[in-house]
Amino acid sequence: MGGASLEATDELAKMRTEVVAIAEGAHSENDEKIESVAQQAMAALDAALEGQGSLEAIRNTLTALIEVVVGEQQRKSSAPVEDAGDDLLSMFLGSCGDNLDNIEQILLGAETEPLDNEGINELRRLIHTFKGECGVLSLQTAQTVCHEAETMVDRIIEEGLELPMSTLFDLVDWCRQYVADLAVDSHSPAPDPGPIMAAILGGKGTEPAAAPEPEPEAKKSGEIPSRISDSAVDANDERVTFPEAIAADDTLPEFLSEALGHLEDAEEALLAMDEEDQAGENIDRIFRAFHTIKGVGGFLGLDAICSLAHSSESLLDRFRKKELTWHSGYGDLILQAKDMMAQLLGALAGDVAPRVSVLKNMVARLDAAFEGRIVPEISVGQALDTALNNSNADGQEESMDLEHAPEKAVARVGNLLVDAGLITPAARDRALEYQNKLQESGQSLRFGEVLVELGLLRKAQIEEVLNGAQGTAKTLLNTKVGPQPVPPPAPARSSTKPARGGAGVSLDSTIKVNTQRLDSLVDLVGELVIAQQMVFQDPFIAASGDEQLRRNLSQLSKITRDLQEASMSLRMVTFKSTFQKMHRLVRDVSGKAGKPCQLLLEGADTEVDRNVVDKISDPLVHLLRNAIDHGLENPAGRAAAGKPAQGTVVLSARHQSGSIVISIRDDGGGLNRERILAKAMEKGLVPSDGSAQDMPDSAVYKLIFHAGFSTAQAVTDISGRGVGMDVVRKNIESMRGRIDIQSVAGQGTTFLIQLPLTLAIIDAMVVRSNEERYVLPTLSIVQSFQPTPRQVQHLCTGMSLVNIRGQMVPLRGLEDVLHNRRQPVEPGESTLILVESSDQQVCLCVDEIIGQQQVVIKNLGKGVGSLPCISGGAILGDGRVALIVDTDELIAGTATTAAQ
Amino acid sequence: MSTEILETPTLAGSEDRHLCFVLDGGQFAVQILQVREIIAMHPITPLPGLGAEVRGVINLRGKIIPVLDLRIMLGLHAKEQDRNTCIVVFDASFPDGGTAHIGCIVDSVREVVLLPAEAIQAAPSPKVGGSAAFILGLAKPHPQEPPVSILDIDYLVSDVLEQPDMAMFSMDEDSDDSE
Repeated sequence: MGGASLEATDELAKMRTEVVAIAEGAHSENDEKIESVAQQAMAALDAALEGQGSLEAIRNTLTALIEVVVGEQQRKSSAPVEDAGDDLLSMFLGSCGDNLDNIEQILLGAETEPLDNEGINELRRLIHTFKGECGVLSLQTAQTVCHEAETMVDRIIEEGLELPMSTLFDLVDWCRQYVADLAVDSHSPAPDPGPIMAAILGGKGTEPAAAPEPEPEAKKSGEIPSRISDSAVDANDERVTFPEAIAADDTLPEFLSEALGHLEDAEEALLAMDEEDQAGENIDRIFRAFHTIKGVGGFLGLDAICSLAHSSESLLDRFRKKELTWHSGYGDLILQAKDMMAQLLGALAGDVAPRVSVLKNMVARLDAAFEGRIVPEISVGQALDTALNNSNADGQEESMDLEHAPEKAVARVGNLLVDAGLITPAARDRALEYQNKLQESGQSLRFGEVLVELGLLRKAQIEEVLNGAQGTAKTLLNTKVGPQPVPPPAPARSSTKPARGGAGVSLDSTIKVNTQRLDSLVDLVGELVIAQQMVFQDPFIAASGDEQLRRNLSQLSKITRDLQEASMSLRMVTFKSTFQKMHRLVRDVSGKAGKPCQLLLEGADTEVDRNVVDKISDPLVHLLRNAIDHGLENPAGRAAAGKPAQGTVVLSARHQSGSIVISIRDDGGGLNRERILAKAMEKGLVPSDGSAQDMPDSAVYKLIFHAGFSTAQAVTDISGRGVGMDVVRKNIESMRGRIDIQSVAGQGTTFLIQLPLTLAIIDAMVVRSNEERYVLPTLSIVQSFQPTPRQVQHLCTGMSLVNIRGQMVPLRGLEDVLHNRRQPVEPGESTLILVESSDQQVCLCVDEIIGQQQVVIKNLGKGVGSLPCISGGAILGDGRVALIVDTDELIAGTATTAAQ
Repeated sequence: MSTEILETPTLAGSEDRHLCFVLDGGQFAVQILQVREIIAMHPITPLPGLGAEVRGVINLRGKIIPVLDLRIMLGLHAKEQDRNTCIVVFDASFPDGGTAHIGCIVDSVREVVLLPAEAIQAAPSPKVGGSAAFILGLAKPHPQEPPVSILDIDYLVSDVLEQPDMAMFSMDEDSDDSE
């Protein structure tokens, strides 16, 4: 039969459509050169379609056309534009941070063990994606740099050498720099690409210790490597499979729900497209959808999804750049790609996966559509050969037959829809008429699309019928009536398609919520808790003996507490991303300091309030740098101490009694007590009369937090100025946290940071002083006690001291500190609270301790400047405001007074 | 608790409507668009380290707002609160463009009067009294009564509370790690 010849005619017709599109595009851009060549090609193709063209003529005209078009494109793209659209830019900036992080992760991993094929492909993919994004934004410098880097990686892998890590790290740094610049100013020029380009161009692979597996895939020209994962091409009848580990990935549900959302959006945009609307907002929307899916899919290692998204995206990009003219044929193709994608996503959620052959076919068709113009040498040549070899009278008859057949088929589908009660017979007739009219004007739409366009049916309804109908009906509903020959039924359609949204798909749906809304929810719940307490503590209710009321109230308070916990948990995030960034830091610092070091992470999944995570990053950076630069001995020292040459730093996070404890532990030499003391005496921080020798270790160690305190003999560019630890202390104190140091000589040092779970709520002790109540953060309270008369000593300066187990601690009345009112200390009456900040202690005298509770920290309202020794306000159970005492400031202030 | 919330009027002439209140026997008015609500006296928590004009802070439905003593701000005699004393909550704007809810203690609230621009006379020259800078003008809504002084509440408030930015108290503040 003439199946083959039908295919050939089909190919020719496809080519013709494309050539027509080129001609139109050239015409609208007044590009006479391309237009005339395109017309010649059209003529040759027309002749062939009528069965009388010569292969030679077509080949020649098409080759000429290709040369002209490609030449033109190169000319156009060489115009330097270092400018990026703003909304696209912000998208880019958002995504490329992750991208660079991922590259870095791979590079770091590669240092410990050589990359396997998957790793190398991943690296390539990431660089490539980054390049692509730069390209979209016309960031040509960055694009060139990335391109060269890609070339370098390919070359080096091909030569079987190892990747030059430093160059790649430099590349990441360069990109980061650029991205950071762009975030500040979207027009900022790229950083000087000179050094990085030189490094890349001169980049030589290093001889591998053990030769890595050569990359057979990448070398074959003409084949698209790594588009379809190995598992996906095994055999024609295999179904697409995904990596086993993916099911366990936490991010999968989020990815799925997001991706499906994107697809819905893409479909909406696709359906809204008409031929006037080329490369407009709709194309952008579709492009974005596929692009995002590709990005996340790549991150999750979903090769099948990536390859499909990549091909779709590449094709769409050409419309964006107005390199291709949109027509409904492409719409069909993209829609099918979209459906295929939905099916793949469904497969991830447990549905039946599409067959590999089907996926391959889809990708191939997308690629063909993409390459239809730019590199058509192979495909056009092959197609021509097939076309001309098979073109004969038989084939034409056959195609004529099929051209008429669809009309009957469409009428039948129409009846089917009428039977299903979806459309009225009148509507069916109208649609058929419209379709014919379109056909006359040279357009071709599927019957289904016609129905959608006329507003008679929604896309979803047609899908339903498509899913429900038998295979034949499905094909028929897709049937085009038009001048083009009917394409062979897409394999994507012929396989049994699982119903979407069916029982198999169960997604943990997530919603992105604005942080401000979340904060206001947390605030409101805080209010609810207070209001509930107010009711609970109301004297009338307290006096009432009604059991029912009491039960109801305790039920209410339980629910309120649960609600508060639930709302707090909304803000919780893990330390994961913060911790992982530290890998890079450790690598760089250990390289600079010449101390090999590995970083181990523990408890990165620990959850904590988002604000805490944001603020902990800086202190961690300083502590890790210090741990490596000061903590670890140099390799010789380690060898002498019988330790492995590679030092170890452990960064861990854990929950401990309502707070978060982060520890940074090194296996270095430990802090040198003598040297710290000597330095402190030199600086006058401790008395130099030898009494300091009795200081407990913890107090001595804490001396290193003083500004400008450094025992390092030389200032390096890593540390040594004595600034870092001061920053650490300040930052941690600002989070109402505390830091402790443990150190064992010869075995290492551990920094323990204790932080509140959230910055919005503190555990507090409510005290009364005079008529007012105040809130003291529990974290800074050491103990509270009633003094014996002998414990308190008044000095002639007006200062008072309390003797606490032999230590003289300054005594201040809270009222005295805040309102400058004298407050007599009555032994046996007043209560003293010993508070601590840094390494200093002060005794506060209050009239009464009311109790301990959690309070929500509020600011005192816009308009009130900073107040001495007050860090905010809290609303207590009776609805009144109590001030929160800033113990750090109070202690610092007292210490200064005491020193004078 | 007699808490009444004045609905922000969107009627024509709402700019002309003014809230009249009494301070130390004198009558004062503020454009009603700047008034957020009038609340009964709340227990006030005093703030350390601020002048006598700032009486302290109160809990306004879960939000802490500062409360100022208008009598002291206008240089009038201080007075014990009585059953008519109340707090007028203003939407004050600061010179830096920020706005805040600020409570002001007044002796009593009288009425809302319509004072079109043409009914407002310019305030007497600042030479006459030092306080004229915050008086926008004078008007006589009732012919047989003494005139009403129209106050520039933004000016008064920003005069007392110089630093509208509360960086130090905000939850997600950035500590000073500049050293």
